Amino acid sequence: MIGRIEKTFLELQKDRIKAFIPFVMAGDPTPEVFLNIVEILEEAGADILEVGIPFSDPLADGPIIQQSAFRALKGGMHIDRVFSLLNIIRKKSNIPIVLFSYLNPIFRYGIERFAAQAYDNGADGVLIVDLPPEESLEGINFLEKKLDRILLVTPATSPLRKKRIAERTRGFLYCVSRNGITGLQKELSKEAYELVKSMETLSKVPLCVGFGVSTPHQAKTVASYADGVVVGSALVDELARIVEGKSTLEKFKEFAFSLAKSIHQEQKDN
Amino acid sequence: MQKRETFSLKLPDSLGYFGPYGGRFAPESLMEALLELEEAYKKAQKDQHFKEELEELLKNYAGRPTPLYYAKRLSSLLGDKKVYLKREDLLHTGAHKINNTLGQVLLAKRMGKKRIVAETGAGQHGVATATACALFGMECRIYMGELDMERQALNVTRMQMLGAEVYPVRVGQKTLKEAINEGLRDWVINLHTTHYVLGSALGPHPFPMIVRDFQKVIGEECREQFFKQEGRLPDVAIACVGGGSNAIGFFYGFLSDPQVRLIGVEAGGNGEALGEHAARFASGKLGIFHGTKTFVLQDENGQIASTHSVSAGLDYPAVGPEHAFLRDLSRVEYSKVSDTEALEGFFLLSQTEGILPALESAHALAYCLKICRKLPKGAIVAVNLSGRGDKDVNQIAALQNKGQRV
Ligand SMILES: Cc1ncc(COP(=O)(O)O)c(C=O)c1O
Repeated sequence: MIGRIEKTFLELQKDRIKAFIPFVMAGDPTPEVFLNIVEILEEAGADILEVGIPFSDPLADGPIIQQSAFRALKGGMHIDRVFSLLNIIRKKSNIPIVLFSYLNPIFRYGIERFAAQAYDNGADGVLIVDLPPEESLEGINFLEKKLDRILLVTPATSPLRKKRIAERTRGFLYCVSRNGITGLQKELSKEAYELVKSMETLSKVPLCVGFGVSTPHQAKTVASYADGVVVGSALVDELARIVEGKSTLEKFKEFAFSLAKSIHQEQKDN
Repeated sequence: MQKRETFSLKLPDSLGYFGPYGGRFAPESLMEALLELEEAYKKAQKDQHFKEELEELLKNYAGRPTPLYYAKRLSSLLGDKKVYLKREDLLHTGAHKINNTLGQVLLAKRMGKKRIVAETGAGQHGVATATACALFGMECRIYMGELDMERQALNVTRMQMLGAEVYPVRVGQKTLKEAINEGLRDWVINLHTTHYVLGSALGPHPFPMIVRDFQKVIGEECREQFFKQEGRLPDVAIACVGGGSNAIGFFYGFLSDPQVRLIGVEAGGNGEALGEHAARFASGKLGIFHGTKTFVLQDENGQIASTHSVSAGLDYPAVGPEHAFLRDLSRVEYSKVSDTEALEGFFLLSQTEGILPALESAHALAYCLKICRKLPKGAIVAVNLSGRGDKDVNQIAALQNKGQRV
């Protein structure tokens, strides 16, 4: 049986369409608004949903996603509540869901227990930021059977490790656009393009680019060479502005639509 | 017995493990930098020139060997016991931290790095890093929590005068843990130009090994000094444990001497509740934090807990992985003392010996006072005086003004 992630990419590829993969933090700013936002994103045309599990010390993240995690934690978010939210989403939607987490909350929860519960509540993939492929932990094999474990490559990754990571990743390969942390950027680096090109012959799964894709224009550029575009900080920043009373869900929706449009239309424009 | 301890001397294994602890749990964006560092360190270790250059610096610049001082007046208060102090406080910049920063900055220079970043809690590691950077002409940025900048203000000024940029970290509890987060983020962004000088025996492999190796000079020296000065080894050796660098460096020299009882002292803070202390072995759980698998103070959801200690250098939620293993082997015992006890230790040493200890080191002293009551007559105790207390005088004066019983 093929998973939701693979199925989604197969369908997109038939029409030569690139995937729009928004990232949002579970429970930010509240569970209710989060669910609302997920609906908006789907309506806008999200193809895969990346859902963050908040962590107290997100060291691969810039200030925007850090604050998002802190808001979610303040609201009492934790893994079991993330699963309840997934469950609610799954009742209405078949969108592939990738959980994005740091290792310690999962480790504390129990890796096997996490994998089983995540699967049962409708998660399809997991990306554990601080678990490199070289590290093995009890329960990881089980997790990899239950969920697509998505790995990352960065512009700094050596050719040898690129090859190993490409062989090990499932669902898709997450290509980090630059040497850095999550956050906005004015211009896309050339590194992202070069990284994707260098992975094309190595990878059997789709190549998605994330970290710092900030505008519809940048998203369009990435969609011209990658199979999918992950947009995190830019969306979360818009959300933060709503929390501060400087923006509205309506504007968030507009932004999501414009991102989706620029990614999905890329192929047609070529 | 003997076998077991010699075994632990060969660690970590090739993946950075001390038994079940340690490892390299880093984001992909740091993996290559860590591998590059490990490679460069291995090469440097084999290079006689590197060894000689570091030895020369430690001797003529930092002031090694540090004295092993018999604290006669302090001892006389404790019955028929002999307390010796390993005087790392007399090193240049005032703490053991310089042993590690000279080593790492020298290594960074060999690696062709132009810029150094580091975190600091008490400011001692920051000062020692800024010093090494001044010496080697490297650009230097130190990340420091805003709370720590307040309580260790003197060290902030010192770092600035040494030409370093002190970057305030205003996230979370604004102490060491957040400073490390920020330092690592900087490193990720500036991989090619920058080396991250981690200040304790923590973090992803190879840091716990590198920091230990640069600090083990403390214990090795001390062991020889005991043979020379006392004709025998101490019965007990005590050190405070923040991340664990002064302690691992001190203990390392004695690991294969089973007759020497080794005791690490954590910060008991204000009480037993989570958030009130930094006693990882007392109530921490196995976890993975800042790249290493070890005991971590955390809540039931795996979120890292806030910590408290009167001493900024011990105020950290995870303990170095090698300590966790030495505890499993029952080779080192771990205990804790409270803020109040540490302050008592601070004043006792100041007023009986004329030595102001760092608040971190005062934890080791306070435990020494406690345990001496239980030791047989004639017992010899060695305390690693990891740093001097100049940095703490303003903070302690402020506590006195607030009417704390100190
Ligand atoms: C004087 C002194 N001792 C001890 C420590 C604690 O660190 P570690 O456990 O790595 O020795 C510090 C840290 O800042 C320090 O400044």
